[in-house]
Parts: sequence; structure tokens; C-alpha cells
Amino acid sequence: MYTLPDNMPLQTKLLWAENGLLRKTNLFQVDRPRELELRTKMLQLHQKLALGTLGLMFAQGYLGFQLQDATTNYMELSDRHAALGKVAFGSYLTSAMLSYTAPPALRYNRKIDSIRIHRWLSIIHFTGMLALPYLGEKVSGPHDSIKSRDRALYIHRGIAVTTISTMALSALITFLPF
Amino acid sequence: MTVRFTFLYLLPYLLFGQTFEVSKASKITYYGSHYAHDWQGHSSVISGRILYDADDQTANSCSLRVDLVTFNSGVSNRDSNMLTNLDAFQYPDVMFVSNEISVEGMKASIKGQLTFHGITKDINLTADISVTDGFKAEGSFTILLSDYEVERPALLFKKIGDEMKLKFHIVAK
Repeated sequence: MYTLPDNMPLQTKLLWAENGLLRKTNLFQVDRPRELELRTKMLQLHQKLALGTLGLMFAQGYLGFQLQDATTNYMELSDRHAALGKVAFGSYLTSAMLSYTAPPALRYNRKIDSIRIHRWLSIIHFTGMLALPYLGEKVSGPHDSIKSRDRALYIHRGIAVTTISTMALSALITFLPF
Repeated sequence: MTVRFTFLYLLPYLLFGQTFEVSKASKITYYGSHYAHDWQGHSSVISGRILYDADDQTANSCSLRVDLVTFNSGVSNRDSNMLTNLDAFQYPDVMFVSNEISVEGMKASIKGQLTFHGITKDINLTADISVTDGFKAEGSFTILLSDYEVERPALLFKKIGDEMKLKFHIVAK
């Protein structure tokens, strides 16, 4: 039980395996029980922050759709959408890092379980989340035609909806008993 | 010293009744609850002995031990959290010992001590037993995690339920 599991996720392996970055550089030297306590605290905080972030993302989506049909209040909504985007992005990254950098669990099943699906889905929403600020900039940036702006908006909206849906699904999956 | 304790431990089994070794067909299941979902975890890695004497009930006894790490609920993250909260590094197993087993027909009333998370508590339970083709006992009992000073793991903002049902199916040969 004291040994590290051999089938830990890749990012955990890079940091926490016998030859992982944190072991090699002696940046973090505590015994395994304390590592597990830290893991529990990090994942608890991850859950709460992720739930808050999901709320922010839904609000952001709502603002985005309002912005799409805005006329006189376009600038006000645009500023709000950009500001909320920064908060959601920061909150998301903090939550993601808490999960990705947490010390390894005592064991990892080789079969598929809800947490494994949760991890796989995170690859999709993490990628989407990284792309969204750039895609947002592309929408608000200068365009030589309405068609090119519409295309940028279409991509931004598509990625945003995919990201939010995957995040929501990923959160719901953790409630499954298996 | 160890040899002497082992001998004293085995003495009653050697002197009286019939001794049965717990087999791999045995299974212990725990049932956990949370507002999000209920779940169960089980272990079939149980070691121990049962002494059964049909003529002299005072000689009946049992001793069972399960490594906490062998419990599997199907979700490794949950198992890992449970082990962490149970301080499995410090208290790696759960033990049940009884020297008071009274059998009436196919029912047994068992008074024993359960040691879990380093705390020993008296528990009373009943079991359906069968002594044809070895020894079989089946039953369930409920414990409170707070009785054993276990800090309950939490999912989101809520801790898991304090009450935990344990079901046992012991097969000994």
C-alpha cells in the first residue's frame, strides 16, 4: 500500500512517480499519508471551484447569446462578457490545476469507472477552455466581411457550447455510483 | 514471544471442537450512502478461523481479519479516499473476534469485538449458519463511523452517511 500505483494518469506520473519532477527536484518531500491528505484537500477544493466555474460558464454562455442579438447595449454586454470570461478562465485553470497536480491516489482501477470518464472528458473541456479566449478575440477583432465575423462567431459558439456541455457532463458523471 | 502468543491463540482450536479455515469463497460487503448515490464495496480476501462445537457451545469462537486495501467499490478514487480517511497506513485491517457464539438450530447469536480504525467496540449480531459441507455463516450488522472516530469523506459539500451496513458471507472449510 505504501508503494506508488504503476498505472497513475500521465500528468500525475510526470510529477509524482519515483522519477517524477517533484521527487527528482526534492521540491516536495513528505511521507505518503501526508501526500494523500493533501490530495484529498486539493480534490475537495477542485470540486467546489469546478462547480462555481460551471455556474460562471453558464452565465457566460447566457451573456454570449445576448451579445449575439444585441443592438444598443452591445459594448456594455461585450465588456461584461470579456470580464466574466477572465474570471471564469482563472477559476477554471485553478480548479483544473488542483486536480491535475494532486498527488497520486492509493490505487487506480484498470477498468473504466466514472472518475476515468470524468478524466477523459476533462481533456475535451480543457482544450476547449484554452481555445475560447483566442476564439473570442477573433470574434471581436477586425473583419473584412460580415461572413468572416459570422464564421468566427460560429466557431467560438460551437466550441463554447461543447466546452460547457462536456464540463456539465463531466460533473454529473461524478455522481454516478460506479 | 510470537511463538508463545501464536500457541495460546491456537490452543482452544487445538483442544476443542472442529476448526474451520475461512476460504476465498467468503465475502464481506459494506454499503455506503451519500445524497448523490449509494454504493457498495466488497472484499473476498478474508483470513481467519472458526471453532464450532455442536456439543459444547462455550467452546465456539471465531476470529476474522480483512485488509482494508482489499475492499473494492469499483471506483478507485472512492476506494483511495476511503483508505485515506480510514488512516489505512496506521490501521490497515479490520478484525472481528468472538468467544460467545450460541447456536440454536440454524441461527447463531454472536457477541464479539470489532476492531476498526484502531478502536475496539463490542457488537452483537445474528447469523444464519449451516454446518453441512464446511461452515457457512451469513448475516449483516450496522456500525456508525463516528463510533470508530472515522472522519467521513465528502463529495462536494456533503459528507457520506455515518451509518454503514456490513453484510458478511463466510465460508469456512
